[in-house]
Amino acid sequence: MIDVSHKWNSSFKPLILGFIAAVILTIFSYLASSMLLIATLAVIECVVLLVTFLGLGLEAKPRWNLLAFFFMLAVTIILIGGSVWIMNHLNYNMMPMDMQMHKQMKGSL
Amino acid sequence: MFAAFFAAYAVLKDGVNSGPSGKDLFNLPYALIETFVLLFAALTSGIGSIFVHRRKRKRAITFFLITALLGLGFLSMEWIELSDWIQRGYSWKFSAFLSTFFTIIGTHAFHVFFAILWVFVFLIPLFFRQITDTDIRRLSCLRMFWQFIFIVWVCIFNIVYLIGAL
Repeated sequence: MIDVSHKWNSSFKPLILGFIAAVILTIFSYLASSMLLIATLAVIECVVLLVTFLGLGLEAKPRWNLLAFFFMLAVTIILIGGSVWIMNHLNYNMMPMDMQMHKQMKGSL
Repeated sequence: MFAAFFAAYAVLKDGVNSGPSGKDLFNLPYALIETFVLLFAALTSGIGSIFVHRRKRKRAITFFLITALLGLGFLSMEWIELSDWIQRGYSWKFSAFLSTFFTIIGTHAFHVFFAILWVFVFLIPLFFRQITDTDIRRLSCLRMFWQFIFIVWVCIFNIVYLIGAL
């Protein structure tokens, strides 16, 4: 549950900070030309926005929201990383089409 | 849910069915403008919610209405962009890349649509009475929903548009 009485909810500072950071980081990643750089900037921008816009990690001590977020992050990483990993290896292990046909023809002879 | 869609996109990005890839279709300056429209929507929803907390009724209504308007602007920009692709024959049926692309964009647009709807649903009572504690909670949730939509869009803009166009 969100804690609506937290002072973060009614102050302009985090909002404006997050807005300026988002503008700068968006323009940087727009101008960036390498995949690694864009991905890094995306991660930085997401973390900055999660803290400034959504107030993640700013709650009082038993930080259930933060814990839930890290669990979500672990699932996400396993899901995306695993899919990309498996599918790339499938492509790698796949026989080229003509070679496969060649083998089948040989088998039928 | 979005994680699964991003995984599908990353895997199927190069399955273009010898048609256009992201490099040929994406109009990056246009997507950049869409990003800023949505960013301003997230900002105004934040400002609106702060005014709800300070129990400034008229200002809160004004800023949430601006949010809804910017959201509508964002949706119509996407509509124009994607209907142009479909008219050129590149709809979600054309290739695996376009299927995953339209799934991500469609789901995101669906969220934006309901966020706009919510603005109106939550604002209507405020025209008639003062702000109550329930309103504060509702509109704080709405603000988080808008800002979450923008965070998802940041991932879409960076991963789908920018990396897809490399």
